[in-house]
Amino acid sequence: MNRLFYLLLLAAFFTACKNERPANGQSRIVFEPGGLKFIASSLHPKQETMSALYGNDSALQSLAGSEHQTTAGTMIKLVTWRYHDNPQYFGGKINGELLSIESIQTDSRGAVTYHLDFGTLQRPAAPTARIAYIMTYKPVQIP
Amino acid sequence: METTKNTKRIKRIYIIPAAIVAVLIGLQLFNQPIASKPVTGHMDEAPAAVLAILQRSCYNCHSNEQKLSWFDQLAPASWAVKKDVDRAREVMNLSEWDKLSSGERTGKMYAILNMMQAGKMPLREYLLLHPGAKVSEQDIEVVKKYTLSLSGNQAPHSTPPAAAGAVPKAFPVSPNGVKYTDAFKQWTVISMSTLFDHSIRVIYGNDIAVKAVREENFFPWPDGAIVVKAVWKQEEQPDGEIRPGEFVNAQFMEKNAEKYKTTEGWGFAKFSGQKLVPTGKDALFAQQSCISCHRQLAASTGFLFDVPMKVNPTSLTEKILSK
Repeated sequence: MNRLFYLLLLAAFFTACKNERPANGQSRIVFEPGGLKFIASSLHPKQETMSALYGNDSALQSLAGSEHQTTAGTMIKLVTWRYHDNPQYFGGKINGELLSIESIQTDSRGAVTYHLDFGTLQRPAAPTARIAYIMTYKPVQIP
Repeated sequence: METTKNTKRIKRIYIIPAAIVAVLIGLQLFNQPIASKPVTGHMDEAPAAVLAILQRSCYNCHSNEQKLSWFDQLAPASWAVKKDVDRAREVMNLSEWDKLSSGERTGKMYAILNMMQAGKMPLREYLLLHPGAKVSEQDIEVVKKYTLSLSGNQAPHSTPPAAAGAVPKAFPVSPNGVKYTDAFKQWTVISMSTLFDHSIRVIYGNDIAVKAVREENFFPWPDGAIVVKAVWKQEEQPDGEIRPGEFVNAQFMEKNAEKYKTTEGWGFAKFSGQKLVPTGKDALFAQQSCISCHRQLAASTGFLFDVPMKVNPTSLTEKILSK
């Protein structure tokens, strides 16, 4: 019987939780969009990437409308990440390495400029193609 | 003289074990049997090989059909066994499988697989005394193959959306007291994810939660942190790209160590469909369906899944933050 107690005690010792391995010089990034708000997201299974689209109020209006035309003062950022199998839950995917940050801006006269702020595109494309692509996003629906 | 001394010593040798035995016999008076419950339905849809593994490794706790050893039934060990069985039945009962929807069954199979893969189930202390319940790599492969074959089904986290209707004027409250707020739409996005149920998710955090992630302040997470996971159905574009479609639910986790003691300090809530219907008949739902997986599989991040992976150079964080 005593042996049983020792075994239980030993078992309790082994059930202490295990922490993730420390990663040197690595961090958990939360993208800071400045004054912009999250508007939409996407998943690209072929490239194994996920993107989040952020924008200001003008951007939200532009993308919510049926025309999807940039209005003056629009500011949009498209942030793309590599995704991975979720290390904590088999059956899920989660964003991992930050790959690129693209931004588009419309000035007061309606002229649109595109800029690759960070990283490289998985599939290089002309700025006009990227602007057209970014303008296809629709705001996510939440009641 | 010698003989008397020896007799005394012998008496002393016996008195301790005798006392222990007496105490143990006394303890049996306080032995509460495990409640007997009927079997309503098994997992008949699964292949025999999967059932055999579950019967061998899971049924002794997660069912109404315990086959306990004599030492499991002796107090004080029996108290621990009863506590484990009661909790196990609450979380998943393989003798009441018929009570689950097909989506819930898929979700439970993924939970079983994840628990086995992570070496969390069967419990280590249980395996010490019941080595026959150990699951091998082969067993896990069998369970994995079956689980993957189910992923066309809906998962428990994607409750079918309630019928379309007007958004309620007053925001709903979960049975455990977690209040819905639409303020999260203005919060920072912590991460994005998908699940086997063909859903696409975005995880928002309030300022306290974002700070906790950046500083890895997970043990414990600070009170006041709130994380909201918005879930949509996947909508595939002609080129294969996926965008969020119909809204499914919003899942809240709110940290308050004092208020949510039984669920590691986290208040769980799920608000589904256009009417944001809260999940749970009573406050116990989080103990029964949420915390078990979070506790076993997400302990390394303070019980939260979908915390951003630690895969980006720290220098990049500083660069991004300074922009």
